Amino acid sequence: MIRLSTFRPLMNLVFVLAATVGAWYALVSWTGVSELTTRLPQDVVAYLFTADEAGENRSAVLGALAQTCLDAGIGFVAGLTAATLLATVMVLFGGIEAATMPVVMILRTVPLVALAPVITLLFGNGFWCVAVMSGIVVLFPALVTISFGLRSVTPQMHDVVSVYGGSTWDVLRRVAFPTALPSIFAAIRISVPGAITGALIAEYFTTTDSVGKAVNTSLALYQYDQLWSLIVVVTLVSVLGYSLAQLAENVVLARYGKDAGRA
Amino acid sequence: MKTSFRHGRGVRVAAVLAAAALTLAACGSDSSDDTESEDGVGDLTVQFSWIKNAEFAGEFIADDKGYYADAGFGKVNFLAGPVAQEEIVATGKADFGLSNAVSTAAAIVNSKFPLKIVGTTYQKNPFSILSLADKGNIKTPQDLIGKKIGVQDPNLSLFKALLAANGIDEDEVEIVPNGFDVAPLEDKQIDGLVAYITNESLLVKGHGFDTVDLPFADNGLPFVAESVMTTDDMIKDNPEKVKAFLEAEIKGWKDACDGDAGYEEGAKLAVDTYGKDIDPPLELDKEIAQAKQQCETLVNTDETAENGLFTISDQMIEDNLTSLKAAGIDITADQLFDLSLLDELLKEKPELAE
Repeated sequence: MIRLSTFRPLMNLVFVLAATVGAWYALVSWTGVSELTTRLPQDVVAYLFTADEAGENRSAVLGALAQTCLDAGIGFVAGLTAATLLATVMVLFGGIEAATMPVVMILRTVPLVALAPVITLLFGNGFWCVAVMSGIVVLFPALVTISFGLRSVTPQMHDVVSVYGGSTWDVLRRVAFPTALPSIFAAIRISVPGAITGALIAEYFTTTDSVGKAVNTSLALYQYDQLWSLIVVVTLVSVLGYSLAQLAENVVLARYGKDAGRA
Repeated sequence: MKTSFRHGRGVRVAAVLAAAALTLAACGSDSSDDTESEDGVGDLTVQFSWIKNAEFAGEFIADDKGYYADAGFGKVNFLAGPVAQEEIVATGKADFGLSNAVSTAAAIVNSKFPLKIVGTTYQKNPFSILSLADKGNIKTPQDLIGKKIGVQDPNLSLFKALLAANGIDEDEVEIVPNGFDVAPLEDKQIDGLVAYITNESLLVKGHGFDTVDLPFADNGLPFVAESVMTTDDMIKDNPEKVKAFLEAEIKGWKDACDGDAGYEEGAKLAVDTYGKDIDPPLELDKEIAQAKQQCETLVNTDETAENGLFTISDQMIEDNLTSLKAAGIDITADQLFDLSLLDELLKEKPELAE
């Protein structure tokens, strides 16, 4: 059954967008940065929709955005898949977790910008560089969250499955994963902005036309309209992606009873 | 005793605060009251396009020999680059900026920055594709085809304009992102690098490599660089300040290009005084070579011999506009250049053009 509260993400979305636009106006007017370099929401709308070259502007911005979405998608899928697999292996073999978790926690604290040159050296500056960089941003937080969820199976539940002749694999499949669903969804939610951040950083080091690259080149040519538009669309995609993940989470968890995800 | 000590400190703190407030007040009135001294034109802030190396030999000499002071300036402040010079000047953080025609034209066309170029140090831009003779060996634009070229993001559109001007398709060249670091070129990871013939080229040559240059200016993309730009308001409200600056600049650059003694003087000022904090430290030999090369090939041309330093001929303006168009920037001469003050100055003081 789908309840009204399932649609709370939509209300959240409206609130977040309104707050962002409000903060935008406030920051621009209070910080007193020259209006030569700042743009307001109406300027971005004009650039993308009502200006004479709006069509060209849109295709430049959306073309870059499409590439960034692709890059982020690659990192999102790669990072989450790796995180889920690693977390599963860690739960199945306790020794691995003890060996890898401290390393993972430390790697998590290394800023990606610092790792980036090493990654470009190892993987070149093409597809794999983007996949690895964006994947790394997603991997670590997702791994920590998911393995925490998988480990939260109570001994009693474990015993019930064992008593009925179930294997460790059955415990994982029938108990651990459903128990971990809230954690997995939390991982998905935080991975959306993470994947986009990773993609943007990776794009500085690659050559394809993308938001990460276009931000840099438009800055060099003083194309502030394009710059602000790029920032707006990439923020919108990030917020929308997050809301979608939240919506999916609510729909799925509703199937597991009203307390699912709140226990 | 103790109380009086405390009291003394309180007074001192108050004094410091008062002094700070006064200083702040002085800073606040800085921009509006530029002409405090009777015949002066106020303080001077210049935004450079690059680190404080011999590229600004003329400016260093003008400051060191007091040409700015002679022209009526008070305190002289040089700001190092690379930054968005147009933004610094347009938002009033510097009085004048040194930039190139492409960058300034882009700011005017794309974001309506109220700027004009009022004169230029370099008649030709120093951009070049630098390669090693035993690796990329890029002598003609056609040699670029199939090569791996390191391009800095800020120079990406400029590089694409070079390709367009020579009828080369972007897909025929492999562009890789690169900083201003010459190591990837020396390590032969890339075939060519977008560089300054006056800077990176000399640096790599100094490291013992046999270098090849493909100057943009000689290959379909001529435009002026290290050009003096300032705001429309400055030109309108403070023409005397613009003229004073140009006068000191011309004198400084005349000295900087006055044979070996001049090259050495500018280079030494860069290494020992103005750029002494640069890390890694500037190399004197390279700076002297740079000072010499920029004077011989970029600052002094047949046209400046006739019209004087810093002038821009009508033909040169036409060539600039053509190059800009190739780079996707549509602009008219009046929108980009205002050489009226330089003309006035040279009429009043014809000895500057000699």
